[in-house]
Amino acid sequence: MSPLSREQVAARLRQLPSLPAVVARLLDSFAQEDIDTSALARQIALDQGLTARVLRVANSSFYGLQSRVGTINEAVVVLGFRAVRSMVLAVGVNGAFRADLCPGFDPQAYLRHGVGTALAARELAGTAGHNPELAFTAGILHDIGQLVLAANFPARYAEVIAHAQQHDVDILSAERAVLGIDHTEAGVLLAESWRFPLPLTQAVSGHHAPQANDPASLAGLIHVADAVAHALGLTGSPDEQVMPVDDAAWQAAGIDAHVLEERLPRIVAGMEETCQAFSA
Amino acid sequence: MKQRTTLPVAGLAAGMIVATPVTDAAGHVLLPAGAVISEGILGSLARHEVTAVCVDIEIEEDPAQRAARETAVAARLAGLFRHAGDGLATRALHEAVLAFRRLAP
Repeated sequence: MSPLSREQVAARLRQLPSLPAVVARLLDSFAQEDIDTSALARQIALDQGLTARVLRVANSSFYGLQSRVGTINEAVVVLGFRAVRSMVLAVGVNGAFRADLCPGFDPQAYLRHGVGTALAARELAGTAGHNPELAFTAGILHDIGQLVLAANFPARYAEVIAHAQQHDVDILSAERAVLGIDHTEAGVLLAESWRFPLPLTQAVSGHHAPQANDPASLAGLIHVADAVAHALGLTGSPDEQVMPVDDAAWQAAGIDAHVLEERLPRIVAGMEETCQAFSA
Repeated sequence: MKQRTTLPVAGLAAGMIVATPVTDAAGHVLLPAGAVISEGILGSLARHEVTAVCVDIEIEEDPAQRAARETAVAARLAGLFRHAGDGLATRALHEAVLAFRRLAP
């Protein structure tokens, strides 16, 4: 079967319904100096589905709030605008794709790996010098290209999954072998189309090749967090595997084996409730 | 190995890991899961009239059982790391996860 071209993927992405307006505005807000957070909070609140899911995440024990928040405005006051923005983006972007028609694609495993990477990225963000909320969002969205491919080319992506299982290779190699395009390239097409902020775009494009960016970039941190999540086997899949970890990205994350070991309990402790909060 | 158990506040000790969020009577979260009990926290729990906390604690384990469990942990990790190579960072990651999984499989 012929490979998929970037143009084919880009053409399919152009046919996607546009992002909910508020999600698009939140993405734009990364580039803005003065943000009217009250106006954005009011706009988020107009989308009831989005609001319900964001409040579920905000009230999960992951954030350890003293009392429950009942409105987006309260969430902004208590958690801060950046945290709420991250939640809306994570919920809104992932929710734009359904991969139900792709045999072999396991949405639960996809979610669990994204959440595991997000929790690891958030845990490591401080020592690595990154904003923890942006790191969390990047973790949730880093494999969005897989969802893009599985949702838009379900039969072809089912071949990718079968190829990876039959040949015991990682999904990136299987995508290149079967489709001629991998999930980082597909993810970047989406990131550009939806105008993700640069650090998020770099995390989507560079989490398997952190050497293409500054090792201290968000891409480097997500590369490490991705490896941590796989090493913990959080999807429970027998096919799960850790890919080689880049030494420079590891060093830039500012951790060693002992420091990481101390942080792993918090990553694992947050898994179940965060997954529940993010599941549809 | 670690075992999850609920203890009265008087039975808690510094260093224990909170397993499920601790809330006060009004439902406010006082401690999230994963928090480490300290002397200061013990006093605070008493002031908030918390009576019991679910924690992960170490328990004695039969040596044969422990050996079998550690073998299973090492095998699972070997599977996950089967294509990860042996670079410095990869080995450090393996070391951290192995140490963690030995305690909390």
